[in-house]
Amino acid sequence: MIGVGSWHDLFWAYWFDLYVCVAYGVIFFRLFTRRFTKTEGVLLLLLAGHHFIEFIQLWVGDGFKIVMLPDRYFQAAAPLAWGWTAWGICQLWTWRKDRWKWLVRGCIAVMLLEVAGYESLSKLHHEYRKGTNRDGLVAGRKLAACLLADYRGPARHEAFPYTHTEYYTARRPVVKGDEGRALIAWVIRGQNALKLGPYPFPEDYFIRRVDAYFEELPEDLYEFMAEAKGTRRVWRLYRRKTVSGQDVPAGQHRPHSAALSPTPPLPLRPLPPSTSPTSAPGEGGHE
Amino acid sequence: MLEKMRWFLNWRQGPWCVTAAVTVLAMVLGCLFDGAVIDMMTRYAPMAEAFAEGNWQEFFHPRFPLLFQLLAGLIVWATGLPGDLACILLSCFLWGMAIPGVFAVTMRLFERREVAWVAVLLYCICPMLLTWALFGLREPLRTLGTLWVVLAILSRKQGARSLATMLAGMLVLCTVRSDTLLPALFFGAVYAWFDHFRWRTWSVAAWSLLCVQPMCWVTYRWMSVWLPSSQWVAAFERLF
Repeated sequence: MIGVGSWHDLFWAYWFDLYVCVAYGVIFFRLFTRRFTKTEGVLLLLLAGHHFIEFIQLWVGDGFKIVMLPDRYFQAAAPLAWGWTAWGICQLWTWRKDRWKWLVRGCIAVMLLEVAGYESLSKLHHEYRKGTNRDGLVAGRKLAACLLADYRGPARHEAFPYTHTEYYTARRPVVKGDEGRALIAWVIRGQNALKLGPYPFPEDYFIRRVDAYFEELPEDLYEFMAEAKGTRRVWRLYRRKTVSGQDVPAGQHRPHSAALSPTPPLPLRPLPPSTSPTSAPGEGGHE
Repeated sequence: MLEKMRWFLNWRQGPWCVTAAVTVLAMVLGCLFDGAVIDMMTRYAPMAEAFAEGNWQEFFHPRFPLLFQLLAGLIVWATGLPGDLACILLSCFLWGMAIPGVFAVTMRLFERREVAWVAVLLYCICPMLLTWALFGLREPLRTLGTLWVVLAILSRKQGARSLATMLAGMLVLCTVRSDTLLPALFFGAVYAWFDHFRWRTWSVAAWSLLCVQPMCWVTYRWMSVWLPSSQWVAAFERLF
């Protein structure tokens, strides 16, 4: 089953960008003018085959329906098509020999400058200044000092049930929550846990982004620790209160007031010692 | 104008010099960009550090084929850099290394150096691919492997050189992501068709099977199934 939104994704997955739109135009032109060679046919077959197989894999992988078609799975093969784009540009460049040639060449130069200047540089600039990931990274770095000052538990779970569905390590503290969890967990060399994923133990901390969907966490389970501003939004860090089973034993956290008191930025914790280097993958972790 | 640039277009070492310069620039940009993406920070970077620590339990995982994390882990082990920076530098390096592939594939297509240079220019200013490299993702390695395999198929009459390119490309595609295995099989089938199933075909097939075995072993240790990744196991369960 394929939904309407998914067809939209599929369209963009195939006709990814300006380059490939030009490339398909060139292919039709070369077919129409009988210039299309056997080598080009082979390359087109390889490109179409790559995309078809990728599509089928995503379809099967998502249970015979299209949940999403990440464009980067397709676009990694996009440079195969750019030979045609380049040929089209070269043909246009030398197309006119009269005074109009400068208009054509100017248009091509403007298009290339648009891609290089606006698409590339502004995209990178926007990602750097306003990107969701970097937003969390900047806030995560600010919250990491507070979290490291607070956490006094072990650096690793003693016995950790590794799962094949997601990559989780035995590192602690465990940070759960919005996308920022991964970034703050990485900064402190802890472990992130997906909000709805199969992480086997309760988290130590929870991080939330303050946006339109923000809701305070239940006070009986979480204690607000600190908040920090990223490049765009405010992120809040909570400590988990509940103590049960494999959870952090009571008393291993510092008092709340100590966590909120101004603490100097701490150096990053050195990497935790590894478990037995001779242990084989999956030992004690088979599902 | 193209006539005035003829010396540059015909410069034999030009693609390699441009590759070196652009790769260094991309790696510097990668250091300055301070990019962050969840896939890299939750998976590849911790895996690279686990490799450098000798923590095999957390380096091997049946969902993620080994090559990218192995290369990043070697950087961490050799230089002591943090895992995320190692992934970013590696990704930017591989992004730059694909430039000769773009040039060569376009040359195979049209036999015109100016067209190949324009393709290289398009590759260098493309926002998507550069962004993934700056995020330390595996896609540049996938692009590199795809270009090598396609180049080998297009230049199949070159004998040993084509075979070596094919073997290198299949090594990458069989060990970079679990969803590049079927495209690799497809590319291998096209290569076999043009090779008329002679000894080169069987060499490539044997080499590809060999490349897949480490991940089959990892999956077997975790799930007791001799398949190249846990995602393949899930797909087999759905299909059969």
